[in-house]
Amino acid sequence: MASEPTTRSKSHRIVVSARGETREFACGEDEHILYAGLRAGLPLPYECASGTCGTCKAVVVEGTTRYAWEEAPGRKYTRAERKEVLTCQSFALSALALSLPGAFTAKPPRVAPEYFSGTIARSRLLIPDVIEFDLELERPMSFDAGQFVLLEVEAVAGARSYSMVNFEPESRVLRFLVKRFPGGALTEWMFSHPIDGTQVKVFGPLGRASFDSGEIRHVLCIAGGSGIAGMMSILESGKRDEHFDDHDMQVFFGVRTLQDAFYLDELKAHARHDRVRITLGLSHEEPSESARALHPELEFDQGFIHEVVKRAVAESPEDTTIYVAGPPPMVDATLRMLLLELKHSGKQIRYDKFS
Amino acid sequence: MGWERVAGAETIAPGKMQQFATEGGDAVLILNGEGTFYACQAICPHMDTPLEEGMFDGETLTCHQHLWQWDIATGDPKGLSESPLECLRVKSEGGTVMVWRDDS
Repeated sequence: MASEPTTRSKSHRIVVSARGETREFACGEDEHILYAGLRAGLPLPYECASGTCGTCKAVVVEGTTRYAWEEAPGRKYTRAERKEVLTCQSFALSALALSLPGAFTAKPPRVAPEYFSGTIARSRLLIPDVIEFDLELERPMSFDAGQFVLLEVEAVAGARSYSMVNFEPESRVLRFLVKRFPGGALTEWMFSHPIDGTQVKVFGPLGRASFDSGEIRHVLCIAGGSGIAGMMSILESGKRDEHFDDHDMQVFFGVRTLQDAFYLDELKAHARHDRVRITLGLSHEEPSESARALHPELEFDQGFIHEVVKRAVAESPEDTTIYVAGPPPMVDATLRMLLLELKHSGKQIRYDKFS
Repeated sequence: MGWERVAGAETIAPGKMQQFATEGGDAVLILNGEGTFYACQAICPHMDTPLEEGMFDGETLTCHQHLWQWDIATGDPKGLSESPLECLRVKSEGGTVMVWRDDS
């Protein structure tokens, strides 16, 4: 993924049209087309940026491309007979004319993504299947809470998306969570080697499911497992900007049992704010009296997190922005609950499709 | 012009939806809203996603990709949706669901 185009590599002119609008940018022969366009600040549609969701697809009207990742699962959303490709997983072999099926996004990203390099530091096991680590960048990155980056290490082919846990307006250190995923090449590598000192290629910031405290809105965060990463960043960002002095913040954190929860001290510190409510939903055990006594700042409920949210938030005001993150079945169940049962509008909901 | 048979009514349970190929043209999505059948284009007008993979609550159809939504009775856009959904006339007779094709 994150190959900064070398000065020797050939560069091609890419012209993209969508609904009568045309934009153009230069793309090195060894750079993924989407990344070159985003780096140039273009409002190109994408979500996962890693070959899964299909949102970045375009028709190749003129020119030739080659796939970086032939087996990208998002190719099921493209049709070869229409010359559709995933721009996030394609290289340009010539000048290209591309046509998007939808429109350019309404506004370009606040911060155009760039290539960075970093070194892993201070990795630690939070629970047996979740690692936290810091990535020390060679120069600061500006990002919005809730955004993610692509990470790639030399030992494992391909880039993966991870949301930042921390938040600072300009940060030289990015903090991440990695959940062990059986069979996942990168996570298996991380769980079986000492990782501190590892060099990492980074591309970002990415993602539009981000928090902007300039918006006058209440916030509802629904996370399953390591999906709490982006919510921690939103909590920190809102706290810095005193957003929660005037707006309600509710966080629902779903885990199997109390043993599977982490960041409880950090969450308790946030929950001491009057308008911040944090609920831990346990899907596989009843919250014990001792858990409640030990963590009086937190609320507890039993059930899958979408069921817990449904009980707690029968009606949330329309001026609430809802963030959802977690494993795909949890995100699916939560979206269904929000849209079909609580009748929320898709306009209120922000989530990134990567996993 | 005429009614084209697309499916047996029993194949689509109440609250469910399924995509069917048609003789007349593009595939159609048949939806069963608790006994009332609806028919619309099978592919999302936004990014060509199969709408069959989306969500349906009897009234509103939601594409799972970017949460575009429509009122299934009219095809009118709701929420984030920027364009209407093409809906077809549909009827269920003698256990068969049929759609009206102008072109067949």
